[in-house]
Amino acid sequence: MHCARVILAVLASLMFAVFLSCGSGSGNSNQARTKNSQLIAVTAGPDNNYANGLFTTITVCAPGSSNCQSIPNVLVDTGSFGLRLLASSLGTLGASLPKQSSGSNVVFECGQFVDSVLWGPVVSGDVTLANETAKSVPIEVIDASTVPVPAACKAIGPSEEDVTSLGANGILGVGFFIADCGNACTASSTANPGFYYACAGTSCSVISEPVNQQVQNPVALLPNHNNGVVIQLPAIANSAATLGGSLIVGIGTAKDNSPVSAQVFAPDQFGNMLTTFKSNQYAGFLDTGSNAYFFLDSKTTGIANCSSTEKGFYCPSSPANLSATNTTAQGASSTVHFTVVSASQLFSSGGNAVFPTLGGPNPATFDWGLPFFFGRNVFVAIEGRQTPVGAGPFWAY
Amino acid sequence: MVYLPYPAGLEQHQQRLALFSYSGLSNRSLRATQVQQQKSNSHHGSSDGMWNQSDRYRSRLCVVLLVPALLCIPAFCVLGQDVSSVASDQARMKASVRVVVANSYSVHEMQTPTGTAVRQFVSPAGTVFAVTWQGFSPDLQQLLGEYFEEYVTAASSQPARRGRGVFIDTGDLVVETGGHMRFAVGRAYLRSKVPQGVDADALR
Repeated sequence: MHCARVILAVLASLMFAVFLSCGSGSGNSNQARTKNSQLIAVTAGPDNNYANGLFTTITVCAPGSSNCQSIPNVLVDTGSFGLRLLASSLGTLGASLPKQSSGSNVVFECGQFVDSVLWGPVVSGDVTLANETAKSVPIEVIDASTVPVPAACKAIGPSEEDVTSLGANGILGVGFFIADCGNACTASSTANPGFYYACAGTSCSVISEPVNQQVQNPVALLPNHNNGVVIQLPAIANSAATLGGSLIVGIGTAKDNSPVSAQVFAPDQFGNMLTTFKSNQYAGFLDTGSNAYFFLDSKTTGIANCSSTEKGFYCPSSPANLSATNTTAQGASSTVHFTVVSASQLFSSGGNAVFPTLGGPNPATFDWGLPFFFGRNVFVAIEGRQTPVGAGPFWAY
Repeated sequence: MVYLPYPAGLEQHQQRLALFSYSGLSNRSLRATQVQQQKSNSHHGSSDGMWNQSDRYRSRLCVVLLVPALLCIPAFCVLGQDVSSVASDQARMKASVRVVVANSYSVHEMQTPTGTAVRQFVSPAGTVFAVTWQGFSPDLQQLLGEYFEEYVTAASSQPARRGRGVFIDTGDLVVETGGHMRFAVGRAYLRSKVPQGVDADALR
């Protein structure tokens, strides 16, 4: 009987561990969640139509107060920097988050993504991630309802202003830069790419924005594990409904985030490494915010583009087994093997949100999107921060 | 600390241009002259003063190459437009330009002050049939011209399953973008305007 009890206890603890590590997901990670980590999961997102969207829940509070809001379905994005949240996700907390000002004007941001712009005021909030709180983090609230998007911002691309267009309640940019724009946005000339505006009423002009007032990667402002993150997702062979994993903060700061067995890939000034495919070199990067392997074009890869509703993805007639090699000027090299299956086929069976073989075209670049992260521990080290394998910025896996 | 994005600075812009000494000038001039000859009997269908003025200026553009202040006509747009619109872009974007002549088209390379590299591909018929960019997101309204609205509409309604980047193919207009924050990469072209034998996928 005693024996049976032990088995039951072991079973119970195993189940608890699985519950902790997988949450709502069907992942097979069986480690208990560590203190410096939090659940992330690949799901269909708040609008129930996202493919390979990596989401998490974060807590935002008015600075120094217990006036807080837990916000689920925030996209975890290693391809951007800083936290952006839809005004609708903040509820009543929104009014309690102090707005950043420039003289008597309110500072707004034109957050520039490659497919859209996100417009709204810059506010300050305490952000809790992986059981640590970053104080007074500059955050962008996505809200075009009070001050319309300026023409120069709209000229970059479509403005996404709600859950339907964004497919998420917000974006948590945990890439290797601390500020979203960096030095370029401190320029008082046309060299300024125009992320930050000062608005008097609805009249807005581009301003020079000091780097430390720009929207910040909250990880860089954590009190302890602030030199980067680890994205940990289990391997998965076939499409599935959900997949759970961990966002671990810190690199080489705890038992769960040692990078010593990983290979380090330092980026160039643009945030890219080199990826070689069929003897040609391209700009390459690792990006959880890209929901497929997005690489090159149909002509170069020999893989057919999809037609109709799957436009923007590849539709090979049979699964394409491919490989490409990531390298850096410092001598790192890693050949990655991957498979692309027809998106039309993948999407035809409903109910799935996890697609390890989803691929699509991307002009002249190699974007290692979310499928790359399945079955890997990927380290993203923040610029200027020390780790046991050198200072950031770098990726390691 | 507040400044307006696009007001002054043409003088500075011209100085920057003057710093460029073009290799392949004769080639480009030759091509430009050919372009002008081919276009000499054809107008854009519009006969208002602005177009006529641009036609007159085109010869200066072709021979002297790039006198941006004279060609700064903001109403001009690019993709699908005449080669003179390159100068309009260049002026509006405060960009410096270099022209490279390829086998079946010429490439006008600009670098905007934000460091974004923009290339405009001009067919032997003198039409901008493609544009590519790399760096901070450029002013796509300027680069895509009359096709910008089509781009925005298509980009806003593309299947929600694609996260990051845009892939639009409306039959004639193709726009592909990718990259990450601080590094936008894109290519736009018009199928109907791509010169015969040119592989649009190879344009970077």
